[in-house]
Amino acid sequence: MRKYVSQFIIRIIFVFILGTPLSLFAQVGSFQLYTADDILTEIYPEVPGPHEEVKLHLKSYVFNLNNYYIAWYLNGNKVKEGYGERNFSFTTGKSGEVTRVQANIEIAGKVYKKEYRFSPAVVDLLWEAQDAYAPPFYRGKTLPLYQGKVKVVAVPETQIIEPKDSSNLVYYWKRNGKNVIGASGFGKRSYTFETDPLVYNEIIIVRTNDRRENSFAENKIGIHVKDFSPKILFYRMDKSGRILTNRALNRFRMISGDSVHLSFHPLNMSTVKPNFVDLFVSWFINGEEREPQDFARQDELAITTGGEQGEVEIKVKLEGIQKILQTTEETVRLLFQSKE
Amino acid sequence: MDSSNTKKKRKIIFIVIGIVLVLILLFFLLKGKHVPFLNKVMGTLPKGEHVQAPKERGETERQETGKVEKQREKEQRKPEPRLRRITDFPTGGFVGFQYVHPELVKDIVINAQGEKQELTREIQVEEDIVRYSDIARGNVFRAVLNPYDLKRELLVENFIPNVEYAFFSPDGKHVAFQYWNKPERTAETYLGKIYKKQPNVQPCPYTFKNVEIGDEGEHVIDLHKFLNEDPRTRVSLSGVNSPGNEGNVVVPETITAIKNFQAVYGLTVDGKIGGDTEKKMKEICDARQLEKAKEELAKEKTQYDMEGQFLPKGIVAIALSPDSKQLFTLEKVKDGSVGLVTNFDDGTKKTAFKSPFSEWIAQWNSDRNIQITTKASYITDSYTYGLDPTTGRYHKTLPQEHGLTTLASPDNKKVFIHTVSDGKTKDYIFFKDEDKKIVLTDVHTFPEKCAWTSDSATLYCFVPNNLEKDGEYPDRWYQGLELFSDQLWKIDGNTTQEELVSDIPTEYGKNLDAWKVGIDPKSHYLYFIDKGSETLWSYRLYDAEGE
Repeated sequence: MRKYVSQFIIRIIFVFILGTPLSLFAQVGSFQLYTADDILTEIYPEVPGPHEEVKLHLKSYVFNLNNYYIAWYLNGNKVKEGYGERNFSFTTGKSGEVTRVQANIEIAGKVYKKEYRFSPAVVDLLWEAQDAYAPPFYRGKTLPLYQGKVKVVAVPETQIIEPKDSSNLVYYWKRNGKNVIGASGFGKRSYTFETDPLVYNEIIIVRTNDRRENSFAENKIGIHVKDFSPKILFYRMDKSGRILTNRALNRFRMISGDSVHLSFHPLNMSTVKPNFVDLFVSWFINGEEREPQDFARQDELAITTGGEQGEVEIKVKLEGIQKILQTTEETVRLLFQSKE
Repeated sequence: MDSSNTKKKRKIIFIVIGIVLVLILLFFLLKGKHVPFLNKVMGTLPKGEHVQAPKERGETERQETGKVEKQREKEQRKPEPRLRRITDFPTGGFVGFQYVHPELVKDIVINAQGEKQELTREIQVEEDIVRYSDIARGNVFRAVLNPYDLKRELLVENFIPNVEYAFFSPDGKHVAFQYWNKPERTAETYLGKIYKKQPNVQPCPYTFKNVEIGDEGEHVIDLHKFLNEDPRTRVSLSGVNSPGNEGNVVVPETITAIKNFQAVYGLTVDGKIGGDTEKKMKEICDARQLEKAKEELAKEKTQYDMEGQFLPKGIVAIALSPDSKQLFTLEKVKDGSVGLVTNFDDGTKKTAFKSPFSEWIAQWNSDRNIQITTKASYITDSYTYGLDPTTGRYHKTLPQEHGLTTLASPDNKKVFIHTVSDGKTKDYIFFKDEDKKIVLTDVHTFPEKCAWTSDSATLYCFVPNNLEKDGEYPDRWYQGLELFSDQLWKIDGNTTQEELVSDIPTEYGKNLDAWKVGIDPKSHYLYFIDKGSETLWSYRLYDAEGE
């Protein structure tokens, strides 16, 4: 008798323990085996820019979405609905304008919500040849050569953020397909590197993320280093030492009189030290190599023909001391006319 | 009886003949006499307004408010050519504007009685002015232009050598000079303020107090010197107390001179230097000191001076605000560039822009927009942004393009763009509000060769008649490998209709490569520097009388 009572009590306890969650389940409803995370979304493009068409496509490995009622909302307004409406497209607004998209999927009396927020942003990629030489007050852009130093700068448009906030974005840099970990992070707006002589076209990608706004932007540029070359420009210098950059002697080679004071200017070459001491400099006059007239100003040359008319050939050859791949030479033939 | 009547008649006849002869004489005296003061205002009024000669005797001249209308001179002056060279030396920069100032003119009027009357009145005169500086020393000059004349004068003498660039504020009162520091390979910048010299007035050297005959002292010498400065109050013509021989003792002539002073200036004539007389003497003495100072100033080489300061090295871009109150400078720093806005009134500086990028060109085209554009090469993309100097926010103006260079309009609604597309030069006007571009068909040039009128209605451009290597610009031009020979065109800012204004090589026989182009607020003159000779030129845009 006692044995049967004990067994009975144990069974009651067992049922109680087992039954409680079941009863709870019964009170709540069906057991949540599936969630909205079981419905996946394909978004194209993944990082849309402003005024760009975005396509969303719902898919699931759990549900056959073709059988269920789907309603799409754009900024709170229902814009599309129907059975199996798995696709939706819209166009983003201008940079910084937020677009909210929501998909409600009804499955067995339950509504699964998928919410999306798009805040397209623009980020430009500007680059400059950091160590490239330019003549005085040169208005043009300098171009990097092999072994030259290039700085790429991400310039996010500040429609939605204050200028000081641009350093609060996260920047992810990639060069030629590889992540550049050291250059990436909060506020890392620029990335500097030395061009690779084995790479014709440096591909740089940046992705920015403003977490406060869930705003992404991405951009990619190619720097065609192969197409860039150095150029030695020769300019006359007047008595006061002013460099006359309005007329390059490369083109305007007539000299009235019998003397000229000139200087060379190696456009685009990587030279940052005064007096071009980071270059090997060789002067040739009428084919004959000469040492610089003044080692303190080895870019300058003053010549005179002693009153004679005629042509003088001047050549300059430059080689990088550290940047051994950077070499160039240029010849000008100056025509001296007699004084009238 | 009869003879007395005859005599009487003869007398009357002679009197009448006499009057007639006088009238005839007067007529010939006044005939053809021009009024000299007319020349002062002739031709200084823009748009070819001529000053009219006063009316003949019996009429007075009519005057409209602020303007003088006069008859054309019998000998009509021929205007000079529209294209004129202003300098014959390398010029770093300039600014053109209108200067309005009062001027006194004298009208000579003959009334009904045949009497000449001189009437002085003030009129407002507007002159076309250009201020410019030479590269050699940074001297600042001023030229006054009208269709018939060109007057130049040295305004400020400076000693800053090789000033390649001079950026003037629109009112001409501030200028930023830039010259190249060759060893350090950087630009040096000097910011100057031009001001009119004031006379250096010394205080009155004399003290005045009452004197009696027999008084002695330095104050007596002072009194004698003061009184001798005016012939009407001279103490003595010669000998003791004459000018240069002032004695230190009060004599009767001293008292007489005091009395003369009192009479000249309407004071009580009592020979005593009381309150009123002393006060008047001080007043006259101060006035004389001021006159002396003005005379000294007038003898100086220049009437203007400059004060200023050197700015940090490495300023890569400079732009002055349209209201002439602020300066924007972009300085290359270790990590990129920093844009500062300096207020001229209170000297405050504010950071308006910061970037890790440093190759910028800046143009302050409207109060709330500085167009910043990356330096251009035909072989790669350039970018342009509109920066609000007040908030520091910037927006991309339009998509990047190869060789992109820009010139934004003063109303900030349009941008003239030069680009390279498919290896060819392409120019267009971009309308910001409509976000649309209109490609120009005849004009192929660069923004540096153009200028918008102040109302943004017209764009004037100097257009090269030939681009040797199409598609390789602006690089070739910037490097000095090519100089152009320009025509002058204008483009309607709304319709973009292009019109040839002048084929300069053909009309004037000049091959000029214009750059640093500017225009005055009333669009009277275009100014530009010829890149080849670095001299300053003007092109008159309005028609003059006699053309």
